[in-house]
Amino acid sequence: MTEKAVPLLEFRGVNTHYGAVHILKDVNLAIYPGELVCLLGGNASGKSTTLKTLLGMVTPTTGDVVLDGEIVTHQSTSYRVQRGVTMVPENRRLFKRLSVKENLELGAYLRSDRAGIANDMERIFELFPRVKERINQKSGTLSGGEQQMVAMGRALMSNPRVLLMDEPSMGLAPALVQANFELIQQIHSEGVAIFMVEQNANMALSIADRGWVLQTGKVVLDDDAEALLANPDLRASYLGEAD
Amino acid sequence: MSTPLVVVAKDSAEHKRWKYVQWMYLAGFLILAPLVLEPFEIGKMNRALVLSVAILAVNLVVGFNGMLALGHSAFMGIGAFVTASMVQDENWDYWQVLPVVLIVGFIMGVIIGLPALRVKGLYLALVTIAQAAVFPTLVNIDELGIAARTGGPNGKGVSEEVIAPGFLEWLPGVEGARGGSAYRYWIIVLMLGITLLVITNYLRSRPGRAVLAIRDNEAGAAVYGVNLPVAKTMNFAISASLGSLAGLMWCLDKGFVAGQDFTFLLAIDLIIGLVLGGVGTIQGSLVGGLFVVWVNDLTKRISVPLGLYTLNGDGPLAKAIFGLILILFTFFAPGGIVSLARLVQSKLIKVVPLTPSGEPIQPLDSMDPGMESTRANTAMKMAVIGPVLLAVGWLLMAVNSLIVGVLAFGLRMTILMAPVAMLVGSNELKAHAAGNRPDSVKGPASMARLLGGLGFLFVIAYAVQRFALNYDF
Repeated sequence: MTEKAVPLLEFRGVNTHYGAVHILKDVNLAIYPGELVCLLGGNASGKSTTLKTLLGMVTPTTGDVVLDGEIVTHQSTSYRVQRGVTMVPENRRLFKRLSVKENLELGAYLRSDRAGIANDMERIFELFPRVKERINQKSGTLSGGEQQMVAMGRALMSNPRVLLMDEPSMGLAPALVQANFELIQQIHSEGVAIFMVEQNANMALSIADRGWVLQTGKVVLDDDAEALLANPDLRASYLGEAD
Repeated sequence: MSTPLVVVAKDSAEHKRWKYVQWMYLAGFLILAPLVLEPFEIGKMNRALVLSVAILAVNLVVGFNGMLALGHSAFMGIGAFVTASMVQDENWDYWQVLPVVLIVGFIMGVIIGLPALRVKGLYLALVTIAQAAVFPTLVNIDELGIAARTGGPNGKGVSEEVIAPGFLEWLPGVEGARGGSAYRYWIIVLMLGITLLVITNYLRSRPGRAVLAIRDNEAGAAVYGVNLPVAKTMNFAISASLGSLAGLMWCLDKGFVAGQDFTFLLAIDLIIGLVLGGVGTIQGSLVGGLFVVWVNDLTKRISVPLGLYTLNGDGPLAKAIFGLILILFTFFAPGGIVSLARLVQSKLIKVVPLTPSGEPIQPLDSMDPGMESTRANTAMKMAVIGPVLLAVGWLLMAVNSLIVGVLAFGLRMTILMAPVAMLVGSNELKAHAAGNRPDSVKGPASMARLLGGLGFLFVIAYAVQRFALNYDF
């Protein structure tokens, strides 16, 4: 891990409000190039708000979002996507009535380098041969696992430096969850930094470098994955083990 | 017919041939319409095709972008009044008005779209209903010279007539009694064709894809950098521009526009056409326009004697009968006529998709196990029905001239079925020669090819004759 490097994506004392409700409370996060980090937390802990704030769908009331050294707090989502952030949304959210190919092309919506796009498409076919087989099929007719591959492929088409993943194991059969985490590791091994939001703490921490635990909008734990896995508080509240 | 009549691999030579057959049916329909229909019926056809353009405009917003906007009658009205005013008051030509109408429509779309698209679902529906409801009264306002331009409550007539120039008189139907409306028919067909091409390509382009992505998943689209307000407003403006174009076509066809032509009732007609044609399909818009006009028209022709009372389609129950037809359609074709047509088509032709390496994903023969002869037999029956009806018609005509209808029906069946029967017969014979079909196929297949071929020749002869009747050689 190259801790000295400039963080790719950073929260500096971020506070967000929905109306009068205070959601994120003075949150500090930093994601470094090539890292695989995860954010854990129960319901209503502010996980989704964190992602929305990272992408610019929610603007913080105070504090800054920093992307590769540049303050982007008030920049639009499309600006940030262009600078290398993208997300695999919760429940995959494919464009169901469009074909797999059209979904992948939409991932490259902001790019105009045809050769690069074709190249990345080939790279995704190598990564997920199944996707190539289904290329002309309507994406809504794919199985859950295949849809997850298309969703990841679509995100990679924007050539991201940081990939945000919102609950990647949600709505997948238990057997597929393991395979899915292997896919995430595979993408990570290609050099893409991954910021993963998960409820499945055990599985997420087993592949992550570092992790945070969010509780009612506050970061309560910030440590290496192994340390978190061993932390008795975390074991009690997320892994269902009482001492 | 549980086995499809034809099984082809996607993009194979045979698949392409079947596509050509479909295009031929469309071309035949377009060419025969102005030759066969009465002049007033051509007028109805023109109205139907103009509505198709307007329905496509609604479809762009409702079907392809998932925004419930119902006020397109107002955009049509704007286009129609701009056209009438420029042509009548400023002596412009229609083609000169065309870019102006497109731009005015686009700007109106941006003006209305910017605030309206901030709301969604039923709220957007409400805002646009208000837009449609208010428009007919706006054209009557005396201030700013509006009423002078629009003709106020009296409407505005355009005295310039649209007449075919000499070098276009060869167009089917243009010479003779139905000339004027037939020429306008061809202009409208041309504009509709260009519109369909442009919109099809727009939907395949980057901004078009973004529009489809927003429909399927707004948050998902935003994550990949689609600027939602810009994409939605641009799409709405393009749709408004298209609606105005429909208004121009309306004015060109009727030569008269009035505020009461563009009330909320027209907006409802557009929605009916959209839903019954097929939401979110290009073909659905075309079919929807034809449906709204012709089903209304055919309803009026219904006359069922029920003892003392005769149920008349143009009597007090006209709207009830039309409503009943709508209800039946929503029950039996919930995805619109296009989805019904696709269902029927899938029973006739099975297109087997290809794997990336170019092989059919299933062997073609496995699609119709042991049914080879059934296919040839079906084709033969299809080829026989038309001529038999024709023969029965000829015989009955000698007895009673009222039977002309049977004759006409036989003729239509021949026209419809001949190319299909001929192609299926030929294919089966080819398969037999290659040793892939039993001997029992040979008879029906050659019969189908022969009768189909005769029917096809007959169609051509008939078309030539109709053509010749309209010209002095």
